[in-house]
Amino acid sequence: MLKQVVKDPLIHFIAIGAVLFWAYFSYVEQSSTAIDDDNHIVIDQQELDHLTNLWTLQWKKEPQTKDLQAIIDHYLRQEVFYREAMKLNLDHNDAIIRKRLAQKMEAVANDLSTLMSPPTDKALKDYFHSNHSLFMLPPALQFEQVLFLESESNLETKIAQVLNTLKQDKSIPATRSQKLSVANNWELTPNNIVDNSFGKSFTDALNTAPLNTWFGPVDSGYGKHLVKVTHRQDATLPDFEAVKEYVAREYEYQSVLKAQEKIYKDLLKNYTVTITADIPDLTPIEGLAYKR
Amino acid sequence: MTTSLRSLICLLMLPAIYCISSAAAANSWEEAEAKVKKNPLKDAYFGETHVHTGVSMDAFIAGNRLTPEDAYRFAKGEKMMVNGSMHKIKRPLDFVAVTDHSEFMGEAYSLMNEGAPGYDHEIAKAFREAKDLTTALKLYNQYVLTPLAGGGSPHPDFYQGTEAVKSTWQKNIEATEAHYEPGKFTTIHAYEWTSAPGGANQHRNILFRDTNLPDVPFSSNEGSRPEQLWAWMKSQREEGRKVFAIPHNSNESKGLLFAEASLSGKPVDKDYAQTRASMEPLIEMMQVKGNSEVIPNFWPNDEFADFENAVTIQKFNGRAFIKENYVRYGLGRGIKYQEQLGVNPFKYGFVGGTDSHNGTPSNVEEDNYRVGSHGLADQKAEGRSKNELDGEMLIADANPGALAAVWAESNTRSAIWDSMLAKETYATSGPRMKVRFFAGQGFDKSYSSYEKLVEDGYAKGVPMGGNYKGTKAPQFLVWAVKDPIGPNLDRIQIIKGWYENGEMKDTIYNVVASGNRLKDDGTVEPVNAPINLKTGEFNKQKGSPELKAVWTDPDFDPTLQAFYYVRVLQLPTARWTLYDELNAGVTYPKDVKRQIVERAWASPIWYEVQ
Repeated sequence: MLKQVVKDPLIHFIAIGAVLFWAYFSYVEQSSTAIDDDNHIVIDQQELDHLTNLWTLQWKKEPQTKDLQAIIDHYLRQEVFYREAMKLNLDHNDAIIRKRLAQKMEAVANDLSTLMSPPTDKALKDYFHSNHSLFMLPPALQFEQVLFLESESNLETKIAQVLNTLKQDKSIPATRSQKLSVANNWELTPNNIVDNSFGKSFTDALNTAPLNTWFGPVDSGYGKHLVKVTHRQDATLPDFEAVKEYVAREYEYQSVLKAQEKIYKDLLKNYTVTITADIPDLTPIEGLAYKR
Repeated sequence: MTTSLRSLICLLMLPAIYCISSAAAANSWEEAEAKVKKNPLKDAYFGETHVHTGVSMDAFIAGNRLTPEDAYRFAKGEKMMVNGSMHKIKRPLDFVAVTDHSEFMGEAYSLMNEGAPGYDHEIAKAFREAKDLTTALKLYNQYVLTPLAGGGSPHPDFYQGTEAVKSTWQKNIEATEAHYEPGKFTTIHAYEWTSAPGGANQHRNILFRDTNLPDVPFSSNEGSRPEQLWAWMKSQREEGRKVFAIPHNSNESKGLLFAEASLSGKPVDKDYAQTRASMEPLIEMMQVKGNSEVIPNFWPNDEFADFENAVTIQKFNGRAFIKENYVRYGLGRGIKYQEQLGVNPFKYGFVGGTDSHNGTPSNVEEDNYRVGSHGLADQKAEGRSKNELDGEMLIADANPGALAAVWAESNTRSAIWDSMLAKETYATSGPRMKVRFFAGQGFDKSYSSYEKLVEDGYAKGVPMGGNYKGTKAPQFLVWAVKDPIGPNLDRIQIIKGWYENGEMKDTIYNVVASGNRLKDDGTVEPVNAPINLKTGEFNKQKGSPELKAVWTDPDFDPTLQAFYYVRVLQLPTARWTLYDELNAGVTYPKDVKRQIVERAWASPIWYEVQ
């Protein structure tokens, strides 16, 4: 897995970018606060612009001179206490700082991981092939139908007559064309759509009807139908190219869901965990080499 | 952090891939739209115009962590983790507009993106960690209801400013683009402008036609009066953007939606009327928090007025039932303005929506309301049978929401949006019946086929949402077919409103009924087809799968302004409360309905005196 990542040219591209980004970020930090030594605080134009921008965003107006004074006072106050705190190592073992930093790291790691695995064709194909059940097309029916309403007079005779006509390969009578707005010709349609368009018993009947011959009557939510099933397709795996975009979306979606756990597990591997505390009935954590 | 990191990486190294991809996408869907086959007779497409994801802060507080991405997947029929359970709709939708509140998009950025500035603020944490209803409600009231009603600071302390709003809006835009499949599934760029001065609902959903979109959506923080919203929309239109607004919950508007004056107290004048008519082609007839058509108190002669009226909304927020809150009143007031000013500011076509705060578009099936629509409050049957919804009403009075139907030439963003603008739309209380409605002259008494009927409708008349321009009494060609998995139809009614001698009047005509139940005096023998209260099954013998008629207004007076809209009623079906009792063993109070008559409302056709 890791080897794959290391070999991937796009990952190189991203890794270089990430390095550039961090370099840029550090440069900005360095240059703006320009800490020559621990007791020298410099506020240059860049830093002031940054602070005033934040202020403007929050208050939705440009700061006046007295506001600038307050911004600088506030900044200095924070910076002085921050540096003193660092000197005393007050950041160590501070629950809030630990949590905040852990969350920051998690967010960064998540983001990098989704960027680090942009869907290359190969990755997508692998994902597609190892998750067939996600991409199977449902069973489907292709058929023609002619609708009769329960309220029609001489219904049975009419149905028998039309069935006879249709069996002689004649076309659907004009009066039965798109009756109730329901199409006569149904191109290959997934079973669940047929269910919702006619009712489940109709789909069931079509799934046992003989192929390529007019058949019926079959009941639906509308009335009675003569049907000719021209093709019945089992659940099939679509061509990868045809559903590639969908696979990519699924892949990205699942990646986001998995990223957090995966990164945690990967990072955890770098550590040896020793639990000496007494925890009754501790279940061993999967993939964790720990000592008791 | 997340977004800034991404944009920096974009800037630094991936210009070719990341930054150009959005522009390329725009071109490719325009090409894809052009390739989609068009049906000049139009097809009915069903979808959602009002749904909130976790991006809406009130939804987030209530436990919703779904994104617009998830909402689109749900709409396409995928199973999602909703409100603590895996859930899906029975029938995928044709189109969806995700309408997150613009007011809190900046907050959403901090709440939903770990590492973002503000993420660790104690209030943000409290929002995320609200595990029980009491805590969530308290936060909701403090940070959502109060600011929306115009009190206190509009933003909690962790709010990071406009840039955060932009980031969230951009994420919504990206999801909306990613899920658009011209010809198969339409996504519409949209958001909700949420103003409720003094608890009077003025909310509007804002829908855009294409990818020409503003950087930041206009929220009630920038302007809480509808005139301010319209001014912004006007400036958007001047910049070439195509946009309209859909108001909703007139039933909660304290009479302000169909008002005599603007919120600033200026009486409605021609300018106001023209602006409003131009900005607002449609109104949301019904949603989770009630049906806004009519209520029995003021329309005692409408035997079907008692339908999902959400009666307990009057117990909250100082609201009361007043006639001015209802759509039928609004349509009437509209033609009165037409007479007074020469312009109708309330010339509304109809859509339905849910206003679900679970990120679940059109989860409208009564027998599939297992996870509710508003987070923790109505997550489980037990809570639904007892709780209040967001301090607004009792949940037992809420419903799963309504559906929007659009007659369009194809399932594309442009075709659907254009038909919405033309009001060739109808609302249903959930089922997928189809309704056609034309006004003209010279229709045949009967048609040999459905296609001939529709062709003639367009050839000799105007469709729903249009103006009848003749001087003779209008003929109406009306047709409806049942939902294939629902019960048969009971009847079709045409509701007429007119303005006569300084008075707004309305009446109901029964136009066609199943069987031979329509009597000479215009009344209909009740269908008497109750449901089976032990199973929830509807009657499968009575009613008719299709109803159609050509009806001429017997009382037409060419000197009077008038509107006509259609109501299609199906046979009774079980309400979600009965399914809760049957499936979860809870008990609802006695006066809660177990059986309802679901329906469709087709947009009006107007007659304007020339």
